[in-house]
Amino acid sequence: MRAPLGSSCSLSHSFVVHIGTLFVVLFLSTTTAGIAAPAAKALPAHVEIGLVGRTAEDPTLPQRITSWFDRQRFKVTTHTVQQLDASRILSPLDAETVYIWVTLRTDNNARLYFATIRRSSHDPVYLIRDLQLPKGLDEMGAERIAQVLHLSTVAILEGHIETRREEVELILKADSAANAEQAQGSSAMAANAGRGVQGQTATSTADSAATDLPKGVEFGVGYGISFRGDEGLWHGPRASIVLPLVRSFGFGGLIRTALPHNHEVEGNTLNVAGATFGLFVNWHASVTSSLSLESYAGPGLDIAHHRPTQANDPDLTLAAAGTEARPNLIAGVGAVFGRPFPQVVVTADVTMLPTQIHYDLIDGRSHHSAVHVARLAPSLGVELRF
Amino acid sequence: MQSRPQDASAIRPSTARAQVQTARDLTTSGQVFAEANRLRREGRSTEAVTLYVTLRQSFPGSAEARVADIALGMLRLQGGSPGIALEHFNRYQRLNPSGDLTPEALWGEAQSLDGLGRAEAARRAYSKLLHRYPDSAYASAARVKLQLEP
Repeated sequence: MRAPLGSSCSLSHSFVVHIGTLFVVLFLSTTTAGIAAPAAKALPAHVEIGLVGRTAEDPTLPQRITSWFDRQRFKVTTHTVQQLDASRILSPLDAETVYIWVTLRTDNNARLYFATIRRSSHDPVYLIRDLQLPKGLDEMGAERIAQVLHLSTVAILEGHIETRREEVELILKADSAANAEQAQGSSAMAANAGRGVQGQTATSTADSAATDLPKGVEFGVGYGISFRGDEGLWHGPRASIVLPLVRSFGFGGLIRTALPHNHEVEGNTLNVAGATFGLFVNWHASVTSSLSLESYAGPGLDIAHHRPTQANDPDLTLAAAGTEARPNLIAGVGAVFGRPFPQVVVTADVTMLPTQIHYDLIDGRSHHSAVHVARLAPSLGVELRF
Repeated sequence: MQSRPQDASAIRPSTARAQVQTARDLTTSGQVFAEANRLRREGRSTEAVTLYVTLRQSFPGSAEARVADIALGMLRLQGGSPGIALEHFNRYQRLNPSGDLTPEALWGEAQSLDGLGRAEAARRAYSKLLHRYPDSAYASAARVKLQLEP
């Protein structure tokens, strides 16, 4: 009598080394930024500038702004965004970064939003600055924006001026309402042009994304499928959690279930159920105000229960059911659609097993029929993220 | 073109001559201003300063000249010449007591005085800034400088 084939899931040495290396790199990349605060005086301050809407049409504006900053003391990045994202303004991520958005309220009025996090208390702080542009965003208008932006940023870093969050929410509401009216061809924007901030605040009643404040932690729930070779198509509900770390990085966890399902292997029927647990480091970047991309990678663990239920030959004896833990590595990308909250997240990732795993479907004394678990298992998922 | 000692020492003669020639080719305050801004963006601060100064002298009443004063103050402060920076920031305030960039000019004045080691005058400037623009970007920094609670 031969002993049945046993499940094989030993970790290869090279895989362990690769996982270890990955975590060392990820740990260093996140903790280096995370421990920046004590050495803030020695490290350059980060300034992230979003040029909103029409301000992005001036090709010289980014360089006009960045050239004021001393490269030894500041690391300045600029990007364009189609419209203001209230949640991003109200939720600055990093104490060592000043986030700035430059908008044109009217042809002759620019508004600058500043947001950062107070180093001492880790509370977000905000500042709004309006600037008249007598001839619009021409040479002089653009230069004035660059001057004010630079000097204000330096002052903010030295003093952390703050505008109360409630005030910023109200102003964002007003801006959002004005933008909506502008998009509809309303003349209301022109009427608002000369008003001050307080005037706008008092007259605003429109709904805005600003009232839907983001949470520090984001949760996702949805459904996913995973192609598992001999074990068929795993599918089931899934959930994830992402905690912001520093800058564009986050840390998270995921759970994906595989509902019990039957799959034919060489005419024999196998019933499989399971779940995947994962921890990951996540990185995201905004493409537009309503689309961002993210990537993630980290270790995972599949728990799979397999139970042969029917043989293709009544004379054959089914192998015993089994449950396995399969360490693996998960890496993927996602697209996040919509404005908070919720957002729709579409993900694609791959689960990599360190070594080949197989187990018997038919009792090995009478016949050989092994199930080979896919070493590379692509997965797709859709989640609503809150 | 009137030349200050610090300006002259900072500019190579050949560069200065070439720059003056360039300035003559530019006929409007807007053209001079745009060219000076371009030079500044390209990191050619010395040449930019020369053109900003030319702009101030050739078109003293222009709107561009007022903004040039702030630019000159900022460039001089960054270049380690707080004394000259102070002149530019003060001139902006004299000519534009309620100008849109007055908070910036006051901040620049206070920073320049700090750089000159004139602590008491700097304190007065920070106090003035705090009093006139309590909700500006500079107020909290002024409080810190004055060792008040931010």
